[in-house]
Amino acid sequence: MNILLSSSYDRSLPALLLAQGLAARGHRVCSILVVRQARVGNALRMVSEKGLGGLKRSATKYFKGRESESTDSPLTQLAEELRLTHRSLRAWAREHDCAWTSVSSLNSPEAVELAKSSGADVMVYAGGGILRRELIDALDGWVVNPHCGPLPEVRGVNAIEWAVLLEQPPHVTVHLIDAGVDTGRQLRQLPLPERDYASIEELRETAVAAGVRGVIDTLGAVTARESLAPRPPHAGPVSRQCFSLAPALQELLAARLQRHPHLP
Amino acid sequence: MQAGTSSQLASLARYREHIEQTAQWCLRSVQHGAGGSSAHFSLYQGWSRPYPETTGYLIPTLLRLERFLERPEHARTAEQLGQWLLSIQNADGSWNGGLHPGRDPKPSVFNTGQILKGMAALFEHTQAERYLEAGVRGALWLASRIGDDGLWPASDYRAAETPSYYTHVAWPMLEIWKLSQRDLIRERAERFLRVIAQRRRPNGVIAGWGFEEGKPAFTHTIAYTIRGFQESARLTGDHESYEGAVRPALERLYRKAELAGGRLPGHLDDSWKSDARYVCLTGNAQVAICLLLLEQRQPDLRLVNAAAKLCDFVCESQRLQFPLGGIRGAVAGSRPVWGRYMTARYPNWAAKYHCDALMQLHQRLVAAASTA
Repeated sequence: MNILLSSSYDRSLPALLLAQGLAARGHRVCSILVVRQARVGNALRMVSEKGLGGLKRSATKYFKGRESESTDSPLTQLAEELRLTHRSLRAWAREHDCAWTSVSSLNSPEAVELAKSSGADVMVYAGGGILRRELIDALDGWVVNPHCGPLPEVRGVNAIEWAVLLEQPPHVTVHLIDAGVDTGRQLRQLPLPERDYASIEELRETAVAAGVRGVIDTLGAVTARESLAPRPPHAGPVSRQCFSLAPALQELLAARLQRHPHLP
Repeated sequence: MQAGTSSQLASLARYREHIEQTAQWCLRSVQHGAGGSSAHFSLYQGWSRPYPETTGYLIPTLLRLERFLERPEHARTAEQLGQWLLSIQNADGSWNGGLHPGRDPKPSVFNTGQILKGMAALFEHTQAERYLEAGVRGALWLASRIGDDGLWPASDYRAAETPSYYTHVAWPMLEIWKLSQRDLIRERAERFLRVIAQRRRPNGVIAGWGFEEGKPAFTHTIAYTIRGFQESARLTGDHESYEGAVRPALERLYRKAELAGGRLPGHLDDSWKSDARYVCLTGNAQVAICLLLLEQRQPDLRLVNAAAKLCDFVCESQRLQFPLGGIRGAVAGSRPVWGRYMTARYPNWAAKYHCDALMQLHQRLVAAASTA
C-alpha cells in the first residue's frame, strides 16, 4: 500500500522506525508530513506545563533524535533490528524517493491538500497534534495510530502509565483515528512483554516500541486497506480521558513499579 | 502517615509543608481577628475586621488540622472561635452578614448557614450542648425563612432570586438535622435542593450559580453549588437526586482542570466558556475538593490527578518564606493577584479551602500508596 506518515519532529525515532519497518514489509511510504514545532509559543507552553527540565528533554529529543536514546532502549534495539541508519525523516525520504514536507499543522489546508493528493491508501500517525475531521476525511478515515495503552479503557496521554495506575492490562492498541480522542475502531491489541520494568521510562519506551511493531505487523503484508478489517466501534460508555501525570501521581507510579516491577 | 511506599512520595512532604504554613496563617488571622478570624489581609489595609461567616466554616478546618498535624492549638483556637460566634448570635438564631461589627447589621441566610458548620463540628468535637443548641436555633431560623416556593426571600443577596450556590446553606442545615433529628430542618432544606436541582441545564450548568444573574460565575460559587449537593447527598443518602444533579458539571470541571493544567479560569459563563485572565485560587481548591469527594464514591485516580494539578497550582502561588506574616502562607484571592476575585487580598476562606483540599489529597495519596 501507499503510506502517508506524519510526525511531530524530523528526528523522531518512532516515526523513522515506522517508515523503515513499513518499507521493509513492501509498503511504499510515499509522503512524510512533519509539523514545525520549534516555535516560541510551543516552547513557552512546554515550560509552563513541564518546566525547564521538560523543555530541555524535549529539545534534546527534537535536535538529537535517536542519539539521545540509550543503547539498550527498546527503540534503539528495534532500530538495529530494522537496520535503520538514517537520523532524520528528511534524509530517509531523500533516499527512498519519498516526498517530505514541513507543515505548520496537520490540520492546515496545505496538509489536508497534500494528504488528498499524496495517493496514500493509509496514513500512519506518528505524532503532530490532534487531528480534525478534514484530514481524517481526506484519507477516508484510514488513519492508523499506535496508542500506548489498552482501549477503550485508557484513552488519552501517558496511556501505559495510566494502564498500570488504573490496574488495566499493559497493552498497546493499534486503531483508526476518528473525531474523538482514541475512540476509533481497533485493529489490534498487543500485550507488552511480560517481565520486570524498573522505571516509568523503561515502561514508556517499551510501549512505544510495541506500538511501532504493532503497526508494522498490522499493516504487514496487507495490500488493500479494507483487508485490515477494523473491529466494530465500542458500544459502551466512553471512558474518562487520561491526561499527563501530576508529579504526585508520577511518584505513585514510580513507587508501584519499585514494589511490583513485574507486569502484568 | 504510613511508612514504606508513601514515604517515597516527595509530594506528600511538600503538601504537608504547605498545610503547616497555611495553618499558621490561619492562626495569625485569628490573632488579628479581634475574637474571630480576620476576613483577609491586604498590603494596603493590613488585617481586616473579623468575618463571622468564614470564621464559622474555618472551625471544621482547624479541627481537622489538629488531627492531621497533631497540634492541640488548632482545636483550642476552634473552640475560641466557637465561643465568639455564640456571643454574637442574634436572639432569633440568625447571624448577621458581613464583617463584624457591621455598619448596618442584618441577619443573613448564607452567613448563618456557614456558621452552622462550625457549630456542628464543635458539637461533634466537644459534645457541648451549647453548640448544638445554637446550631438548631440557626437552622430553625433558616427553615422558617424558606417559602412555599422552596426559596429564601430576595433580600439576602444581589440576585433577584435565591442563587443556586445556596445549596451551601442546605448542606449545613442537614448537618444540624443529622445531629438533632429535627425533621422540619431536613424537610425545608430538601425543599430548597429540589428547586435548585430543576435549574440544571443540559450542558450541566446549574443556572443562577453565580453572584449575579446573567454574568459569568466565579469557580468559587460554582464549587459552592456543587459541594452543597454532594454533601447533601451524603447526609440524606439520596445520591441519585443530589449528586446526580452535579455529575455532568463535575465531569466538565475535570476536563477543564486537566486541559488547563490546573489553572481553571477564574470565571465561567453558562456555556462553560471564559474570557478570564486570572485563576480564582479559592475556586481551584474548592473544585479539587469536589473532585476528591466524587472520587470517594467512584474510585478513579484520574480524578485525583486533576485535583493534584489544581492544588499544585495554588501551592505554587503561595509564598512560604516571606517576612510579612499576612502574606507568608496566605492564599491570594486571584492569580495574578490583581485578578477579579478578591483583588489584591488574601482571604481567610482561600486559606481554609486550600488546607482542606491538601489534607484530603494527602490522605488519598497515602491510601493509594499503601495499596501499591
